[in-house]
Amino acid sequence: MNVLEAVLRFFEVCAIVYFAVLSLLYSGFAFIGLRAVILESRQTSDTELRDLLERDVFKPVSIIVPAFNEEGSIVAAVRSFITLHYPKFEVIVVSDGSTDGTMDRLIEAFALVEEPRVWARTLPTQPVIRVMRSLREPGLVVAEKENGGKADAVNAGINLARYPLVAPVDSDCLLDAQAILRATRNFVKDDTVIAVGGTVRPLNGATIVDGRPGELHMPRRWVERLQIVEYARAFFLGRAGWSRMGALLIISGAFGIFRRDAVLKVGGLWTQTVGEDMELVMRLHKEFARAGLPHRIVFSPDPICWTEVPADLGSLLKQRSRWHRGLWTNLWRHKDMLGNPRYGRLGMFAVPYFWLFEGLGPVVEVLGFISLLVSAALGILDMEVFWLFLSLAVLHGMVLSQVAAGVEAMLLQRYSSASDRFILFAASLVEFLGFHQLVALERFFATFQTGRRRRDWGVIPRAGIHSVSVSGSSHVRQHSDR
Amino acid sequence: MWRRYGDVTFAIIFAVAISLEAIPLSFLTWTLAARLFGHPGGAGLGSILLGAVGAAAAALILVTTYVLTYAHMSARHERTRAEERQAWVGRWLDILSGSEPEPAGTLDPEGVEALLALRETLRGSESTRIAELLERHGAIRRLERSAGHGRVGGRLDAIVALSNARIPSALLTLVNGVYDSNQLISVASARAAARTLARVEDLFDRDRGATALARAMEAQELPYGIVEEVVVLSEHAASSLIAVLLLHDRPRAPTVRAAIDGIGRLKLLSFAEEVVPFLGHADDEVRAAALRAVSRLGFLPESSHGHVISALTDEVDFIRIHATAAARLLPLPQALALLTERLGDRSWWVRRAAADALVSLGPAGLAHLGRAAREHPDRFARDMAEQALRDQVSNLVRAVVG
Repeated sequence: MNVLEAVLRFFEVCAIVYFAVLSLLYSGFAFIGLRAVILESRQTSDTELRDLLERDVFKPVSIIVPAFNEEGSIVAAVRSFITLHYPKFEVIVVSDGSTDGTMDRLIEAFALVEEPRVWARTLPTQPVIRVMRSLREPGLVVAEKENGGKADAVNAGINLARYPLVAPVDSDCLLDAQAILRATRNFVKDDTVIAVGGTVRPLNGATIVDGRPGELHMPRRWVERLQIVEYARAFFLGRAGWSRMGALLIISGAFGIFRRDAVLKVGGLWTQTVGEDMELVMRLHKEFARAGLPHRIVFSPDPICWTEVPADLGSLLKQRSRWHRGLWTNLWRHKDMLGNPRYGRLGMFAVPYFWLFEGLGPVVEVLGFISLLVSAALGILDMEVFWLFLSLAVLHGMVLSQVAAGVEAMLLQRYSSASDRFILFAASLVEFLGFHQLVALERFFATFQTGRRRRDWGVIPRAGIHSVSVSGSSHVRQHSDR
Repeated sequence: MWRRYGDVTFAIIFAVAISLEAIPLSFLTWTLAARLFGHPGGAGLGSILLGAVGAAAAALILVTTYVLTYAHMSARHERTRAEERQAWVGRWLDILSGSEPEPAGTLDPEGVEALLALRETLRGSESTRIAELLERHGAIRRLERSAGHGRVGGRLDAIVALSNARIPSALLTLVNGVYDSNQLISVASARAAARTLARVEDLFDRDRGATALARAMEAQELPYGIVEEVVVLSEHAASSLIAVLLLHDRPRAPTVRAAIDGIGRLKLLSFAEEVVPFLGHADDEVRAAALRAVSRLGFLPESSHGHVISALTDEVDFIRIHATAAARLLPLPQALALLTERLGDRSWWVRRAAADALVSLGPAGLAHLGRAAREHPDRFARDMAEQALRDQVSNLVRAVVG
């Protein structure tokens, strides 16, 4: 056996062990997550929510909507936010140097008037050009500022916020009517909670009625269908599991609620990354742990945010590349947390897991495929082991996806028709037959582009939010081309 | 939001599925790790992988079958249940109006559910009759039994049902639930007990129930938010509950905060004097809660004036914010002077609170704001006064525009 052959054999064995350990861990998280979802589903009853509203036990919220060139969807999104079922909230739209008609649409739709305004400039941001108020909607404030990126826009919104909780929400998202109420419930129940993340579900294919998703239908393209399974797995199993273990590292940038004083304490969002959502959560954990302050950052499966996911493969790959670059930037920035007992389960378990499996996973996967090709070329590939291992990896992924589809089936608002259920089932099978591998390849390349393209958002076409249904693509995503 | 049935079975099926997968995967990891460290032997890689593939395939079939069956069956099941529940609602309304006789024997779950929904909707004598029906048919007894035993999900469902039923005889069971070691059960029981306590008419029973609930919450060290919610939910029984919480031997700071916040939220003026000592409490959060409470009550006992005035210059920002809001209740000339001074506070939030408080004082406050906008020595105070006046104009315009 020559050296190359020995190295290849050694790598293959390592890769199989890596896969087996990852599968075991992920199954464990998934089980913990499923259990958490089941308990959570019983925790908050309709009576409880009604009590909260009727008896004035809630915390006011400032919803912050950063927007960049969103003329197609901004009015529909703002309309959906201002009609949320919540007793006291304001909506702050921050146009981050939009060059299209975003501001004009807002001015026209909500009768905005400019007014000089004083506010606490606690977080440094790019200059705010003007602040406008609506003559029709008392809770709507629109700020126009120079371009500085999504994180900068959110920081400007936090400066303008009047209420103790801030909820950054993407402008291409819709929220369930009770989303804010369900999320803020966590702050009322436990005053050590400093941030709450909700579930994000794909909007594609849904019928939109009065600014809310109505009936759910499977979108036309497989790329969109596959993401429905992916999102269900990531939120209902992954994040629910991490949260249950007290080691949640990510709250989706699409929708999360934070205690304003906590965000101000750590200096707001970091503007030098495309993964500003994860970075903020890591920094909150870190700074609070360092200061010895009791804190909890939790995921709650109930508040649901609907987002339009990329409808074509190219856009999806760009998005995943950005996510992966963001992941590495953040892991590197907070490398002192790795294996550090000072940060408890986070330092000893969550951060090492993210380094080893989320960060390096695509690298191991792609190198694994390369080693297989080399082994095949050298004629040393054991075909039986190859096919068995491939089948095992695919089957394991399918089991987890099916579990996620099962959790989705338990939601009252689910894909209800028999054909949609069958497509969902098929999508969970198809996902691991090429799609997953393509995404892994994109993430593999992204690993090596982290330093060079740290702030590059990329351009992702979106269809925009329309009153009937969402599908197709013609719209430019916010905060692209940075 | 969620279907609350079939989920536990699903979790069990998933547990079986991952166990099926975990055994060969663990064996695979162990064997390969041993080989890496130079200990070959045991079964061949091919046979282990084959076992793992077989196990994963079995797991996939198991989970998929359940998911597809669940999706199909649940839709049918829900249709049937909704129809049955609807039929029961109609039947109960007929029974309540006397046009149909009461059913005999044990009620089915849809019958109980329909009755509970009506108990939430109807008031007065009909609501009392529903409570009697629930008790007479053994529904409350069964719910109490389910609330105390079994798996967490089932217990929570029973507690929520008891919370909707609000039957005084179930109060003791619910208070006992507060002592449960599982915090989910403890919190849900506390809320349900508070809702039930609100329906206890007999004063002696109410005080006894309030005492038991307060003791249970203290023993469990329930968090501030929950205690506050319980106080508010107990409605007209809140006075008894607050009295017990505040009189408790060395009450915890979160409990005191919650009780004081409850006084403010429920506007329990009879407790105004009780709040005063807490205006000088050592704990910042308790002090802030006391200031919030007097502010919400809209009444400052004379003995509290000194506390409020000194809190206006407290080191802690949020104390100054609440003190500023409360200062509007001081005698008018004093309030106007102090609030105008606070317009120049170093904190933006205190300045905002001072401006809002001046607005709430009506024409005199607005006149002071106008003067401050022109003449206040502090630039930030002038800006804030101007901003508050602009907001007033905007509100007026909005009112006119409609």
